Amino acid sequence: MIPQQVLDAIKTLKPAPIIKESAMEVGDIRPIQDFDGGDTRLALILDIDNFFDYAIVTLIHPYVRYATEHDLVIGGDTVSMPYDVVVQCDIRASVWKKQIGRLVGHLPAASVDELMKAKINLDTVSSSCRHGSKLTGPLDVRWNFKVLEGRELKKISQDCTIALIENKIDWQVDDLELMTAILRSEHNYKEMLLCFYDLAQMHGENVRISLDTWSKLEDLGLLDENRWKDSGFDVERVEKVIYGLYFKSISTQHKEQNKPSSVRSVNTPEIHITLEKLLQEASARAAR
Amino acid sequence: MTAEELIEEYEKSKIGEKIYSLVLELCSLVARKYPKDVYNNRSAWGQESFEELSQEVVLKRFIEEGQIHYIFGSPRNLDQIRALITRQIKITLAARREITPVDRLITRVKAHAKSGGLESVIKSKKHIFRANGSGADAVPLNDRQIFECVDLLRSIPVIYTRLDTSRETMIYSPPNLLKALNRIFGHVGAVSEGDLREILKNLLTPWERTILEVDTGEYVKAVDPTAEPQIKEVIRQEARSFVGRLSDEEKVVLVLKSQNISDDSIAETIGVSRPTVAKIKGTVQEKVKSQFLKEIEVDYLDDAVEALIDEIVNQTGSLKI
Repeated sequence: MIPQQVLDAIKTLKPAPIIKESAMEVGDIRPIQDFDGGDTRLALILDIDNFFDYAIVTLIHPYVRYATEHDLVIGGDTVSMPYDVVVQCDIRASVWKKQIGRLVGHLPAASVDELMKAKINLDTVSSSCRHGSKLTGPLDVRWNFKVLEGRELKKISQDCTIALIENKIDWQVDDLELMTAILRSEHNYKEMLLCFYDLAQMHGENVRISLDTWSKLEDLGLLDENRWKDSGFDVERVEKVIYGLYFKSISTQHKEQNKPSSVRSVNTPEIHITLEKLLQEASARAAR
Repeated sequence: MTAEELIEEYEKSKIGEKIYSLVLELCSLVARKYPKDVYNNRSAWGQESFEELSQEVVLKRFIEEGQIHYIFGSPRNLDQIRALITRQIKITLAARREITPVDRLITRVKAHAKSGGLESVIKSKKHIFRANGSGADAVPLNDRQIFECVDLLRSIPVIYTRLDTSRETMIYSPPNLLKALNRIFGHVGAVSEGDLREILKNLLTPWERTILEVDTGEYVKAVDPTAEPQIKEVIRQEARSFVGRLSDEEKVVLVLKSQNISDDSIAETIGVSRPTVAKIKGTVQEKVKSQFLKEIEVDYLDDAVEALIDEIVNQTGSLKI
């Protein structure tokens, strides 16, 4: 049974501010979780990549006494939270947006910009901000704590980080949109093939088309070398582009279906891409 | 009890019977591993003291510090909730432990004042400490100033003991305590007893072993738990024998370097030149690697280094640190 003095104190407990959920933005404080449904941690969003659907985050904890000189202690009022937080500026990583949960607090974006710099001017964040005390060496309990925090974030962020480094991000082209674009010239094979060729050419390394859609494209004769030749196309060139995309799509699905159960693949969320987005990416790629 | 039931209770009434009984259950599991002399005012652990500790956790950590919102404000599973509450209990216990060494330091500061080493005045029923003849007034320090003072004291050697043991330590030798106070006076002019306590508490944070380690699920070492006590005992014996083969200077340098204290400060402390410190450091580090750590398994390297430093401090009460 809860003692009366505790019951009285509970009545005085400051409630958590009610924060309305909104689109994710830099400065948000949100929970992050790994794909296996493991532990949830709070993180500050430092940057968002809407194209690859990931965010760069830094880990947060509430144990202000254990802040080091690399961390920033921010008063709860500054971030609209019911307790002070320690932003671990030295522990950052990328996570998929799908791993990020609902909004629990927010640090103004200007302050986040400062955070990203090597040396922060504390007064620009808030007068309630400060760094922690210096780590005194490997025997300082916070040393090992930092190592464990790093491991924790590594576990949560490993899928996204590996996918980004090894370029394992797969965009699934919106099937309906793709077929609509091609079928716009349904009665003109040459136009239709040209449209598909252009789309296939701009695929880059990361675009995949579903097997169902490939069957439909085959039914339309868009994979038939003889028809390419009859329509006056350079068969070798068309083959390289279209079959390049075809084999990538097939091998991705084959690998997924046949991987041994003991092999842990990198978890990547299914990222759909519209033709407009694909076009933007192709232009950006060309500009680079 | 499921995580969903606990979260539902938090959303409805913040802290209800289910959350409170979980805190009580965890207090009884965690606290009984802590020495009663240090953490329970020398009384045997029992239902009454577990209840007292639960109240302290709920009042100080959950309500005053708002940590209940951290524990339940994000989606959690039961293991994680238990681990986070356990951490709050450990922090509460550590705060009990800090009282003794900080109290003793404050008593020594007051004794210094009585013997004329510094000035102590009472203003608005508060003790104010300042350098002799400075006339400085103490204004309440904000968090940032407290931490600036803590950082100023970091380069002064402490006679360290882990706070999870029942051994006591004086923390500062008499000359170093005076040096620490003068650095504080140099920075903020004068300091109240309350702020001095806060500075000293934060200064001891690095030695609060066990608080930041979480028992349940998180961060479990891949070692056989039943073999652990024997392995640690062997490490302690090895450390004892190895320390016996070191010179006094090597021991001092090893302890002070473990605190990240600069060669300059060490040279000043033991009265030799900086290059000599560098030479001793090189020799002793090589000995540690080749004669002590070489045979230790990777998982136990941290324990071995801790055992080594503990052993030096144990054996060398008379060392000039």
